[in-house]
Amino acid sequence: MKEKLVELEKLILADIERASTISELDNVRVKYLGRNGELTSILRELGKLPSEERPLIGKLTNDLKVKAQNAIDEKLAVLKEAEKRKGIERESIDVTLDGRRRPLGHLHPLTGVMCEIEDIFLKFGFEIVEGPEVELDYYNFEALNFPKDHPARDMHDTFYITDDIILRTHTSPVQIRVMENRKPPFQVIAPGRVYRCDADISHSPMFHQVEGFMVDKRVTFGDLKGVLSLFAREMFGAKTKVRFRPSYFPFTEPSVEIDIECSLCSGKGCKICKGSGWLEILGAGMIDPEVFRAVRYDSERFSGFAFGMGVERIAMLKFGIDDIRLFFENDMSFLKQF
Amino acid sequence: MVFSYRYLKSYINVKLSLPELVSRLNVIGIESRIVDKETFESEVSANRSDCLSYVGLAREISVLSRAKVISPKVKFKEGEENVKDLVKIFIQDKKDCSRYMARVINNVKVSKSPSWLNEFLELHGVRPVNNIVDVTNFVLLEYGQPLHAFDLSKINGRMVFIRSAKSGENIAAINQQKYDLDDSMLVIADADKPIAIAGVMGGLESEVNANTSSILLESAFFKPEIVHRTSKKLNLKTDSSYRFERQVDWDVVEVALDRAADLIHKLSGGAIARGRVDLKAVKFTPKIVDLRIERLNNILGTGLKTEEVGAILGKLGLVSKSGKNILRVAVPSYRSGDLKREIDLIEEVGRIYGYDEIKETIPNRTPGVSNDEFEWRLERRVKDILVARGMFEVIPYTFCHKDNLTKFSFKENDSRCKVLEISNPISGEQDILKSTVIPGLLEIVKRNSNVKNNNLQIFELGKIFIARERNELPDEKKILAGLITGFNQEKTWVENNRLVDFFDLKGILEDLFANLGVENCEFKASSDCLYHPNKTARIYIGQNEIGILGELHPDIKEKYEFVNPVYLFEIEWQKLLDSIPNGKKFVSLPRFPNVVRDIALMVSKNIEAGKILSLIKENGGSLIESLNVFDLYVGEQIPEGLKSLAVSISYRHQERTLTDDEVESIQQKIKSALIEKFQVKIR
Repeated sequence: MKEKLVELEKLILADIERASTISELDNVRVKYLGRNGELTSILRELGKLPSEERPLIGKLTNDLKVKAQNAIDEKLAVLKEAEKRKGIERESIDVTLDGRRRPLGHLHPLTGVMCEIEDIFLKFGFEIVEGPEVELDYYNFEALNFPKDHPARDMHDTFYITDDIILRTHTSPVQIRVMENRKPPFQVIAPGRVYRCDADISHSPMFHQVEGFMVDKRVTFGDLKGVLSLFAREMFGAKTKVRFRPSYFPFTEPSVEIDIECSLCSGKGCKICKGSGWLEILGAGMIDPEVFRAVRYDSERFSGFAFGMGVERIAMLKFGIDDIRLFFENDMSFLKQF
Repeated sequence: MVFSYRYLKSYINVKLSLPELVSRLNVIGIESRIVDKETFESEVSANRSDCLSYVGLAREISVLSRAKVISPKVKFKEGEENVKDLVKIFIQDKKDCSRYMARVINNVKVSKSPSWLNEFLELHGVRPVNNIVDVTNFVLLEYGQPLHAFDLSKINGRMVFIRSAKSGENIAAINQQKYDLDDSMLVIADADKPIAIAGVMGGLESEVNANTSSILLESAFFKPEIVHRTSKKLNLKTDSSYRFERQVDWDVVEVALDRAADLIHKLSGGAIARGRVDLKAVKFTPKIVDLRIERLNNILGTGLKTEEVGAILGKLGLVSKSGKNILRVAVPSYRSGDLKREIDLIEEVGRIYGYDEIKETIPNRTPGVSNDEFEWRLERRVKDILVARGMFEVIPYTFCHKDNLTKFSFKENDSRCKVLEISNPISGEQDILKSTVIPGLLEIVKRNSNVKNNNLQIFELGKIFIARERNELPDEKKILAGLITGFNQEKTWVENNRLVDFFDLKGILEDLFANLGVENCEFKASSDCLYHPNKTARIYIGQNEIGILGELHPDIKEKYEFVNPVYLFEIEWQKLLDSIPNGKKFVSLPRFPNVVRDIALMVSKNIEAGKILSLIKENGGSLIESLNVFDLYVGEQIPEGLKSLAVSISYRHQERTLTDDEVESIQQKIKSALIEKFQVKIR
């Protein structure tokens, strides 16, 4: 019997060693240690042995049982680890496949440009005010020193609702509306939609402007230059060259147009700047005393400057868009780009 | 106005090359560009009519180049006959015509102009006619003074009246068109009828043609406003009206008359009658404007001395007498339209001194608290949230087609019928301002579907316009609107896609409101002619209706030929703003655990989930922390007319832990209430 146990031990350990899967190992356990397992049977039939052999065989069998269980446990741990490793190995993914996309939408490019312009002036301490898009002739023209029957009005192709009610042709009426209700000092920008009866590749009947104005006791033309040059450099780059050219607007005197050097050709002349080397971005000037008179400000006490810019124009220069109508067609393939 | 560089040089001996000249003109404020090697074009602003001629521009150039203006030489001998015997002229409307001059030239030989004159005119886009008319057009371009030549024999009674037209009068003009006149218009008339529309165009009957032998040559100063008004009313714009409405030069009226008479004589022979008619309704004296040097420096931000300012004005031909820190400036006739006030002189000094010379400064600001930032910050925030939810912002035109009113079957008293009509729209389809955002958005869907973009999630923050009384400004309202249609996303290897629906859009709004802190929002089933009758809700914040959300009415979907259903919302922006609370307040964290219980029931299909949840909340009281409908089923295993609903309820007491018994009894209470009110079957 003793020899049988020694043989059995060899077999058990061999079987355990050979088991390559957890289920195979379990079969081994059942074979030897299960209810009908060999070791269990031996222990159960201990009674059939001569009495002097029982204690020894019993002990040896139990020892073997413990040894076997330990070996099984060890092997189980190894197999489990191996399986875990295999599992990890098998678990691979193709990282080049797309993730679960939740694409974000887009702000309209004009909104983006307007916010950029607004942010620059907010940084300078300007406030944002809005005005109505349908306006009285008084606010859009008369109070801004465009007399009736004057060719200056022809500079704007106006949309009329009635003789006195029009679609505003610029954001300048907001100057009057603000000044009628407030006393200086203040600095305000007024972004918004404006309308002119003109339509082609670079003109749209509806477009956007940002107006700005600053009124205080001693505002000078030098201040106008300072603030607007700063704006141009913030907007277009720190090295932007800026040029101030005399111009004419009925509501400012002196009036000026502000150009930046054409970035595409560095001022040499190209199709975009029509050969001049400069791109016009802003109109501005010192607020005309007639305008102050209309809002009952004493032009001896106060002075100010005003400016306006076309948002579409700046967006087209910034992004290289060549057709203004694209902004209002709202084609998704266009909007997606911004 | 187009200028020939070569011709310009006969009026000023300028040494600058053409590109240099153009560049310098831009620097002093005459916006110019090169057209070709020989020509440039100057866009002269409305206040600088003095530059709308070769002599005028030469004068401006002399300011920047030290070269002197070369005036055309005029020398002729007058004939025997006196002009007073040949024609009688009367200004009857003195306020609209300040000066009227005329000469008579007899026995002219009308023929084609010499080639130099034809070439010159063609270069400026003027069609050559004959050697009389061509001279008048030449002098217009040369001096900026419009002139007109009449066939004297066609002037009835040899009498000329400068008067208002009488209503009922009309005239056939030299462009072969007939014009009806009224008493707001100034005409040149003979004893019988109008022979020219003053300052605008001459009459056909008295035009100079091959048979003409005596001419009356007119040179006048007409009031800018009346010429502008007449030209606009008759929709007739000419090189003449263009210059009159910007004011011509009082002195040049005389100079141009003699220049033209001389040229006509040289080109067509004849005899210039003795004397000139020169009727003046006013006495012209150069205006004297005082210029304070201190004020100039305050406005410009410069530190110029009186002498420096005087020198700059001198360059412009403005003579000034110097006082103590003040200059008395005499404004010559050619700048009298533009330089009327001290500030106008300040601008002149600034631009000639050079805007580049003025130092950039940063203004000294008086600090103050600025106005409310709430609104525009919120605008940005709302747009960012919608963009984060995958929506694209669109900006459609404000214009819309009146036909939409019928297409959408608005009822008569619907406020959306009160539209503002544009009297001069850019096109027939853009003849009103939109009173609802819907057509603009639907147009975008249509456009995009034409290029096979059928999946859209767009939003707009735009304005609608509701007309009020005829002479009142309309109601302008900002509307936040959104639209989704098509598939929610691309089909991918890991996720399938599906068509979007009402609840996708509702979810975006609910999330938006939650983020803004808007509470007690309710969606109540409602209807509107633009929306599906059973898939539409009006949005309430508390008691205030702020907007609407629903599926586009299938009839409209059909009219537009859309492939997939379309879902929209419209929210009145101001009402949304008003319902956003100011600031957040901390709420202490719960100290006791919650208990979650479900209730599954079957109920009639047409009982809204909202009503069931309300009843549960009523019966559960403050112990109910939250509710969630986590299952909804209609179908095979459910009897007809019923739906199965499962609600998860989270109970929590603020002061202690709830017991199971407590929760159970509340559940029972709720179940009984549901059975009693809605006859539900608890599952």
